[in-house]
Amino acid sequence: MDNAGFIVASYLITIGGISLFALLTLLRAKKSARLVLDRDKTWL
Amino acid sequence: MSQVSPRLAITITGTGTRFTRVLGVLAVVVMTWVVVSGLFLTPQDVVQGDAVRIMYIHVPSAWIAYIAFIVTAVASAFWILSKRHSMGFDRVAGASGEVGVLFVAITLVTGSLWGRITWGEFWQWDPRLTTTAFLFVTYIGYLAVRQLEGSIEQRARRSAVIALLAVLEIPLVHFSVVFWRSLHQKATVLDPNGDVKMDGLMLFTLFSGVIGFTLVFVWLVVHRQRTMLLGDLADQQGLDTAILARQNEGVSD
Repeated sequence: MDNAGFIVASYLITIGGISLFALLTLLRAKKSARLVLDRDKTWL
Repeated sequence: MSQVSPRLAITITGTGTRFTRVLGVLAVVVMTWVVVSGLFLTPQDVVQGDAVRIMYIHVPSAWIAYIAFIVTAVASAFWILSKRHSMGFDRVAGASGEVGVLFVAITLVTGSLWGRITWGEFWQWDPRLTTTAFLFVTYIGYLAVRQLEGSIEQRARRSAVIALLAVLEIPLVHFSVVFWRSLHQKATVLDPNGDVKMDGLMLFTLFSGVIGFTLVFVWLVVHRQRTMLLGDLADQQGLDTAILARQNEGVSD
C-alpha cells in the first residue's frame, strides 16, 4: 500500500478519537450516576 | 433488616440500557467491517491510488457532522417553540453539537492527511477547507456558550439562538466547491446528475461507513444527553443541599 503511514494514521485517529470520547462519556456518566437517585434516571 | 425502595436506590449503572448495548455492538461490527474493507479489501482508485482509502472515513464523518448540527438546530427550534420548554430538547441539542464537533475534527484531520498525499500539503486555504474550519470554530463557540454561568434555562436559550444561526453555515460548506474555484473535488456520490463512477465494493464500503458513523452518532448522543441530565440533577441536588444548609445556619443563629 502506497502512503501507508498517512492512511493508517487517519484510521487510528478516527477510531481512537471516537473511542476516547465514548470512554470519557461513560466514565462521566458513571461518576454522575452515583449522585442521582434511580427514580430520576428515566431510562432505567 | 432495613430495606430501601428501588426508586430511592442509587446504582452506578450509568446511562446504558439494552437498546444502547445492542446499538453499541452493531456500531463496533459495522465499523470493524469498514476498517477491514477500507484498508485491505477495496481496490486502488485509478486517479487517487491508495489515498482513496481515507475517503471511507472522511466522507461519512463529514456527512454525519452535518446531520449532527442539523439535529442540534432542530432540537433547539423545538426547545424555543415548545410551550413547556422541555430541557430534553436542549440536552439533545448539546449532545449532538458535541458529537458533531468530534466528527468535524475527524473530517479536518483525515482531510489533511489525504491532502498531504494528493496535493503534497496538509492544508490549503481552499474554500471547502476554510469554510469547514470556520464551521468547526463556530461550534466550539457554541459549546463554550453552553458552559457559561447561569441557569439551565439561560443556557438553553443562549445556545438555541446560536445553534439556529450556526446551522446556516452548512449549505455554505457543502456548496463551497460549486460557488468558488476549489482544489477540493466536487460531489462524487451526491452528484446532481446521479452519475456515480465507483466500483461496487468501494461504494458499499462508503455506505457502510455512513451506517457505521450513524450508529456511533446515535450511541454517543443517547449516552451524552443522559449524562447531561445526570449532571443537571446532581448540580440541582448540590444547590438544594447548600440552600438547606444555609437555612439551618439561619435557624441555629
